[in-house]
Amino acid sequence: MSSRMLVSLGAWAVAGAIAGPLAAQQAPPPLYPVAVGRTAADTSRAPMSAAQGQLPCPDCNPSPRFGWAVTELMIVQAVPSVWNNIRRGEVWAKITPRTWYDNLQNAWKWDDNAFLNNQFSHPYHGNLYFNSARANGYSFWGSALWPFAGSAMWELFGEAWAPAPNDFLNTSLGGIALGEMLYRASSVVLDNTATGSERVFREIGATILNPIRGFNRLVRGEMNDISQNPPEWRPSFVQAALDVGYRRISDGGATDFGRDVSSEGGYLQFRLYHGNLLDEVTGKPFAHFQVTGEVGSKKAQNDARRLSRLAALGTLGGIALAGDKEHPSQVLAGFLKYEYWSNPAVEWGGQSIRGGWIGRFGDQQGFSIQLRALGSFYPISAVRSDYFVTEEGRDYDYGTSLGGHALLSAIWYPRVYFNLGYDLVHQWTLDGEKSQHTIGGGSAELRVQVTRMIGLGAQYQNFHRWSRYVTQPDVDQNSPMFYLYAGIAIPSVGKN
Amino acid sequence: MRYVSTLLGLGAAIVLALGCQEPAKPALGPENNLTVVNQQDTFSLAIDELKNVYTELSYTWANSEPHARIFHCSFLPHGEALVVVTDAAGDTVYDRELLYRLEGITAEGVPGNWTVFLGIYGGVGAYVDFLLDATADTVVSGALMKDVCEARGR
Repeated sequence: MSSRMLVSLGAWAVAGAIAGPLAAQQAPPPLYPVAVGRTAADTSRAPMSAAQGQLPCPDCNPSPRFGWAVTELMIVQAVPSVWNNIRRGEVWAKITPRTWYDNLQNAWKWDDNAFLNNQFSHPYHGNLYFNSARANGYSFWGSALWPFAGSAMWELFGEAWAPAPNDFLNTSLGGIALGEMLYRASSVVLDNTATGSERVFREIGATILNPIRGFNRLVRGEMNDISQNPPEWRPSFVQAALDVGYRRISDGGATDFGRDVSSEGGYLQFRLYHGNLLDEVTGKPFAHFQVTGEVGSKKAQNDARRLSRLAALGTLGGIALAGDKEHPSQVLAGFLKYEYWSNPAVEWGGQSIRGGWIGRFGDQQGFSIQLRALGSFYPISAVRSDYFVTEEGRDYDYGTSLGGHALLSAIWYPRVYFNLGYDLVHQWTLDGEKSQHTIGGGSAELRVQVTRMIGLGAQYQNFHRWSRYVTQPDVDQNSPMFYLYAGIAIPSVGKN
Repeated sequence: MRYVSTLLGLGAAIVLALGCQEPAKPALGPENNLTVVNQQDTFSLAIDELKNVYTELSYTWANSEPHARIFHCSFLPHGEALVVVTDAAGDTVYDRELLYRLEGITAEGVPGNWTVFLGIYGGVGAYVDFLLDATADTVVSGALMKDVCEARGR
């Protein structure tokens, strides 16, 4: 399945399915940009009805199923291996004890595959390793080891290519971020109390988001069982938005930069906010996460791949600094983030651990300000290179990075949402053209809810890249990006 | 006792000398089935079953054209294989690592006797294989790469 289809299907599945149960919460959540507030109406989770309370809850505290998890991990490894070996006859898929020995004996090598393959396909595969455990009763932390094990197994024994450090890190860390995000998104879509066609569509939607979980539910006969929904399937707050609009990227200036970075065209964007950040950050990992997916038109992408952006940010833990324990107003928080960004101007991706301070001030039912100041560490990051180009498709430098991220959000609930941010990341290149890259820039976004459902918005982002090469001329790139969009909120925001 | 000490000292010296010596770097053997086809305007080279091979090979190749298409069909997961092509004037017209699937073209050079150099350093893999063809169209599309490699049994 292509990445574009995946994003689109996932987006529609989540968007369609969350509307029902969450509308019933009658929560007036802040739509955008970050759900850091919990309002009076959504201070409790969805109440469990008396009838539902009498139902069994097999999903509430499942026991880990080690045998199932290992079997599914092996199936996830075997499918691409067998397909490429037998169906496509690829020499790299012809594994023998000799290739295992060679992979164990020799040094690892960075691989030169295209950006989409290395920065999306590998993390997506890691998500399947993660969910081999997660969808079999393991906790987040219990499942977090599985993509590391699965990736190491694949790199050393699943293919004859030399093990690649970029594949290992992207698959493992990206697999955790995408895996838990998709696990929780599929939980939102599922409803064990639903029946009839609604139940069918929910199960299909959840299976698209999390195929391993869908497979488990199918073979265990859980797809039509009536039982309780575990409380964590219904977070305190969920808000999605589906926007369509126009994107323009300008060539704002570049030195020695030969590419055509300017483009314009349509795009589709999906955003999902799961859980209330400040309230959930001290809870379980990814109780709060936010995901953004963007697909550009062929024209907007200058005929390149349509998936132009995918980012998943989830909480790992936090400490309340101010406010009451249940609803802190200031926290120190830690996150795991997956990033994929590929448009004519930007090629950037990586896996990062980030942390810092988050605060909220003001009245959530009226005007409030939310602030973030985070630092980030990227064990693996990739940024477009001006000189390192392989004909296997790689045109980016790999390295390790440090970054800083500041965000100010002003909300006039429920009508106006304003975002002002600045990001800066510095990469030390480990493989590719000998270089250091600094990328970042400021961004501003305004979204106005015309009705509870319909919103209009505009975003400006001034992307910069400063690349310093050891043996080649330096390159400074400046590419302003402008977005204009209309979108729907799912469910609708607070009553007007 | 003196005799034993001398023997022990000599033994230690031999062990030290052997220990400090660089291990022998395996060169090509008959099992590697080196196959070179060196004709006017076409040149190809193939080596099979490389197990930690270190070697440098150089050939003079008669090329009547200013360009040559090059097709990489190599599977060498470990180590490195470099191909360097120089024209009749001694200028380098192509220099890069051999890859699994790659179609390229040399820079413009002076026709005549060109030199094809292949260096393999710690190569471990199923095969190294490449083809230089000066009669082919100079427009590199990538379309021929798969056919060329499959025709060569790769």
